[in-house]
Amino acid sequence: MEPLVSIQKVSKIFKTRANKEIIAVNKVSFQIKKGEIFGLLGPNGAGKTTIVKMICGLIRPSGGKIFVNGHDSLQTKRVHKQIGVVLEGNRNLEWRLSARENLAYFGNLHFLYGKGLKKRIDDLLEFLDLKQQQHNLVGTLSRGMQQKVAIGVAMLADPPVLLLDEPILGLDVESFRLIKNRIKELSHKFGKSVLLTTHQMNVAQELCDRIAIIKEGKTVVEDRVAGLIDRFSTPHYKVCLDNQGMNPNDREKLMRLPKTRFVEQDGGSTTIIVEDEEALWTVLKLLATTRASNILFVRKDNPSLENIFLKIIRED
Amino acid sequence: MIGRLVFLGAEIKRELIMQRRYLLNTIMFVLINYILFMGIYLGIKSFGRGPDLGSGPAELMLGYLLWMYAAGGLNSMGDQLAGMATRGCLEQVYLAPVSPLYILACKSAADVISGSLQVIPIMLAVILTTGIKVSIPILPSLLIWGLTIIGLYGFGYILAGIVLVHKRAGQARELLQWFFFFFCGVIVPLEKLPPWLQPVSRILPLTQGLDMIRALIIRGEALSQMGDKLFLLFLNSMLYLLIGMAVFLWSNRIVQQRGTLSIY
Ligand SMILES: Nc1ncnc2c1ncn2[C@@H]1O[C@H](COP(=O)(O)OP(=O)(O)OP(=O)(O)O)[C@@H](O)[C@H]1O
Ligand SMILES: [Mg+2]
Repeated sequence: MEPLVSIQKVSKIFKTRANKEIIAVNKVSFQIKKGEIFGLLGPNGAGKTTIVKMICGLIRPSGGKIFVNGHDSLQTKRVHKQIGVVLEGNRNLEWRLSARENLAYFGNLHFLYGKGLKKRIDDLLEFLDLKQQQHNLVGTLSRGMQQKVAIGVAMLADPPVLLLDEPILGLDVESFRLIKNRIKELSHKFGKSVLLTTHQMNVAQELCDRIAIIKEGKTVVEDRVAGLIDRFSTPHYKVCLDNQGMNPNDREKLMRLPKTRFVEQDGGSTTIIVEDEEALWTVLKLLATTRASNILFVRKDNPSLENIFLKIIRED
Repeated sequence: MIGRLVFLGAEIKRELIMQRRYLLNTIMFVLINYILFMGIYLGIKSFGRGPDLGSGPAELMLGYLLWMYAAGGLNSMGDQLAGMATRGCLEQVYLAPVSPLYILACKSAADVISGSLQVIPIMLAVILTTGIKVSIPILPSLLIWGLTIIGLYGFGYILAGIVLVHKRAGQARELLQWFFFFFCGVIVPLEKLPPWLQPVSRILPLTQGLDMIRALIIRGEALSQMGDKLFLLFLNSMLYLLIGMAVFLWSNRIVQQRGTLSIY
C-alpha cells in the first residue's frame, strides 16, 4: 500500500545570524502507512519539530522530498487538506475565543460550515470530554484543556493524516488516558496515519506501531517497537538484597564485579542490576560464598523502550 | 468557492465576536471618533482651512474619513499578522488550505467591515448633531475610492511582509503613512510640491483617486467624463497590488526558509 506520509532524504539547514549553519535535520527518511501510529523520538533539539513543520509546509526543506497522500509538501494548499496538526507548545488556538468558538472558527477556515460543522463540533466536544468547558475562553482554560481543544482543532476536517507534536504534554492522568485511547482509536479504527513526537517513552512504547529515534538530525534507528526491543535489549537481571547483615567489605567486592550496577533503595534493600547471565552467576556465586546478605529476589527484567532509547542516545 | 466565502465569513464573525466581547473598547472607539469628527468639523468651521478636499466641512470630513480608511488599508494586514503571531495562532491559521495572500485579504476585509460598522453610526451621529448638508455623489465616490484603496492594500502587503520577516514594521509604516499624507495631495495640493516630487506624487496610490474625488465633488464633474482616468487609476492600483503580493509571497518564502514564522 502507498504510504500516506513519505519523507525522502529530507534535510534542513538553518542559518544563524552569525551566518553559522545548523544542520537541524540530516537526510532523514521514513514512511507512515495508513492506520499506523509512528513515533518520532529524540532528545531536545534532535529535529523533531522541524520535521513536523516541514511536513506541513511551515518550514521549507533544504533538501529531499516530502509527500503527503501523494502531494508534494511544497504544494501547501493541497497538503493542508490532508493533515490536522497539533503544534508544539500552546500555539494552536485563538486565546480570546471560547473552546467552541475556536472549533467553529478553525472549522470555517477549513471550509466546514452549517449543520455539518455544528454536528462535528458536538461530536468532538463529546469525544474529547470537553462539553463542560465549551464556552470558556481558551485563554482561561488549563494547559491540558487547551491541549485537548487543540487536538479537536486538528481533527475537525477529519484529515487522513494527523501530526501531533508532543500532544500529551500537560495532560493529567485521566485526560492522558482519554487522549491515548482516542489516538489509538483514530488510527486503528478509523485508519488515520498519526505522526507523534513525545519525550515519554512509556507512551511511545504503548501507543506507537513504529518509531524512529533521531539524534542531532539523523535517524539512528527506525523499527517496529517490538522489533526494536528484540534487537536492542540484552537480557538483564535484577538482584534484590536485604541490607541487614551486609558488611561493607562484601559490598565493595560486589560493586567491583563487571557488568553490575548498584541501585540503593531506601527501604533497607539494595538492588543490583546485572547485564547478562554470566555476570549474574558471578554475583550469585559471590553472594553464596560470602553469605553476605539475604537475597530477596532475582528477576529477569522486561526491557523498556526507555532503556533502549537511553542506550541508543548515549552510545555513538 | 463556497469554502472561501466561509473562510471570509469566519474572519468577519471573529471580528464581530471581539467587538462584542470587548464592548468597552468598542464604545471608546466610537466616542473617540465622534469627538474627533466633531472637533474637526468645529475647527474647520472656525478656521476655514483643512485638508484640501473641497470647500465645505462635509467634504473636509469626507477627506478625513477617507484618510482613516486609507491608513486602515495600509496598516491592517501587518497588524493582523502581528496580532495572530502574538496571540500564538498564526501557524494554525496558516495551516488552512488557502494562500497566505487570501488569509490576509480576508483578515483585513473583516477589519474594514467591522470598522465600518462602527464608523457609519459615528458619521450618522455627526451628520445629525451638526446638521451638515451632504451633497456628495456617494456611489461614484465609493467606486473611485475602492479602486484607490486597492493600491494601498498593495503597500499593506508590503508592510505585512516586513512584519513577517523583521517582526517589527513600526517605522516603515510611519514612513509610508506620513509620506502619503503629505505627498499625495491629501493636505498639500500637488502644485505646491517641489517640481521634482510632482511626477513621483502623481503615481503614488492615493494621488489620482483623491484628485478624481475632488473633481467629482468640488468641480461637479461626472464619472462618465473620467473613463480614461478611471482606467489609469485601476492600472496604477493593480500595479501596486501585484507588487505588494509578490513582496509578501517572497517574505513568506524567507520565513519558511528561516523557520521563523511563529517567532515573534
Ligand atoms: N528557526 C530556527 N533557526 C535556527 N535554528 C533552529 C530553528 N528552529 C530550530 N532550530 C534548531 O534546530 C535544531 C532542531 O530543533 P527542533 O525544534 O526541531 O528540535 P526538537 O527535536 O523538536 O526538540 P524538542 O524536543 O526540544 O522540542 C535545534 O538545534 C534548534 O536550535
Ligand atoms: Mg520540538
